Amino acid sequence: MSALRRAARPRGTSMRDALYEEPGPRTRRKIVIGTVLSALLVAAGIAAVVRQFYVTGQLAPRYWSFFLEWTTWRFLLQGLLGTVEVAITAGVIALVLGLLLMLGRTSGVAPLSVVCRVVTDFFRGVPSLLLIYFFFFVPAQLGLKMPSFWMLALPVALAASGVLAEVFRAGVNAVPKGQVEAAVSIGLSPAKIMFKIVLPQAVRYVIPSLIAQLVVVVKDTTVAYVVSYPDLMQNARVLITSYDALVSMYLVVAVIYILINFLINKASVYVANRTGVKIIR
Amino acid sequence: MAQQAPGEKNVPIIELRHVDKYFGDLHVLKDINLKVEKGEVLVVIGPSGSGKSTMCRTINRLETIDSGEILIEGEPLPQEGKDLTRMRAELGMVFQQFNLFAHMTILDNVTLGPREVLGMGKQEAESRAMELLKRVGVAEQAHKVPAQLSGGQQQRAAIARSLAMQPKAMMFDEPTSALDPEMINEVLDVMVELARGGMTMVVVTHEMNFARRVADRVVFMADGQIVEEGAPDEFFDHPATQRARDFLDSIKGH
Repeated sequence: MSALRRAARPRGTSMRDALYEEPGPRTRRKIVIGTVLSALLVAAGIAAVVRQFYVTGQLAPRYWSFFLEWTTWRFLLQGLLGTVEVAITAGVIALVLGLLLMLGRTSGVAPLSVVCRVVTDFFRGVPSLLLIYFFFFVPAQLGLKMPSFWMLALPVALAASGVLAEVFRAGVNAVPKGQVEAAVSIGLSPAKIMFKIVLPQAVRYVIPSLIAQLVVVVKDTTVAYVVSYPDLMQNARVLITSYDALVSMYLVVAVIYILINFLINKASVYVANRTGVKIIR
Repeated sequence: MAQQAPGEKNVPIIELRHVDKYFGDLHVLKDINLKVEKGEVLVVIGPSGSGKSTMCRTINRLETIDSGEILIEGEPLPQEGKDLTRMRAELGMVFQQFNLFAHMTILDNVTLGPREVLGMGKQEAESRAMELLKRVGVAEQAHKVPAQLSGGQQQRAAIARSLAMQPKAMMFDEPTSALDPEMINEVLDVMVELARGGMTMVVVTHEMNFARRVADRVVFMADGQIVEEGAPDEFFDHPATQRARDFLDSIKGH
């Protein structure tokens, strides 16, 4: 209970340490055996995959040699740039819109609250592909010309904003009631309580979920082919047709996506650690 | 300590008239009538669940009431909006769990109210905050965050945060109940100083020695009612009701 005791808890105490007790000698032996067995299984799996590649001829030079050409990489990098542009735009819009939807929903103004709730649930419930089709067909029918960039960025952002609104709301609800009571007691207005006391703490609680959602945004942009926007995936498809090399190309693209999302993770952990004061409870 | 300048009109700072409150079917406050005069130190004691915390929290509307009236300096406590916000700024509140803003340094905790509510400049707010922190003995901790402080230090910082608003009166809702025993006195000492300085105080507590030493008046609550009230010596030495005698007996020998 006491804050001193809480603060004195050794650093590095994580959820894992809290959930599992320190293993005894027998458990440690089991862990070693388990580790060795699973490592062997993984190695065997990889060997089987490589063998299968070999047997089916996927290791043939004609499936891989074009990766030695600069033009291949330049085309892929152009796609990567497209992915990054669209993902960042969609991510920023989604964060702002999600925050606004949450603020509206928790505002206490009944009509606004209901509208924001319906909008949130709608965007959260509709598959992003459906939203992309909407932006692909509907503006065109109304005679509006929309660049393919926005036909992709907007629906991906809208879909994510619904989820982010709920993520922010979970964070706001996680801020202890006493924080608000103390703020109320020194005479802060409701708006100041939200922006000075509640939100700064709420955002820190939900940073892991925010990251997860930004990864989803990046993955959502891979349906760019629907609106023929040249992102990484779309350019990869072009290369697949021209070199007739499906497996090798998808393998390389998958690795690139994994790297992007790994970087998002690293960057956000770095940012989270740098947001100054950490909340210890 | 309830000195009244001769000729000054005798309007209580806080007055509760026939206050009733329910939590669902539970009648938690039953016809509470209470006056707190300027400069008076009122200590509220009673068994847990007697409604003393709830009563304390109704005074700045952290808890709403179902009927009756609460008057602050003769004016009804506003129900909402800017008037309520302004009134709350004039009443200090110290919580059992300290409730320091977890993401701010101690100094920022103390300057936030004066800067955002009283419109004070940064420099003035900080120099006054440092003075208050010195007064409660946590000036060295000014640039730490709450989690780095002991409970006693946090509670003293919370008192400084409240004082920074220059309140007309302060409510203390079991301020030492969440503290380790060795830290209780450092907080009580600060409160004794405040009482000596003439602060109007409503203190909900289990610290009987503090009540006896500092209170101008003791209010004993049980089952949502004020059962007995009087001067501390009178109450502790010659309780008039059986309820109060039972309560005092039950906490004796500690």
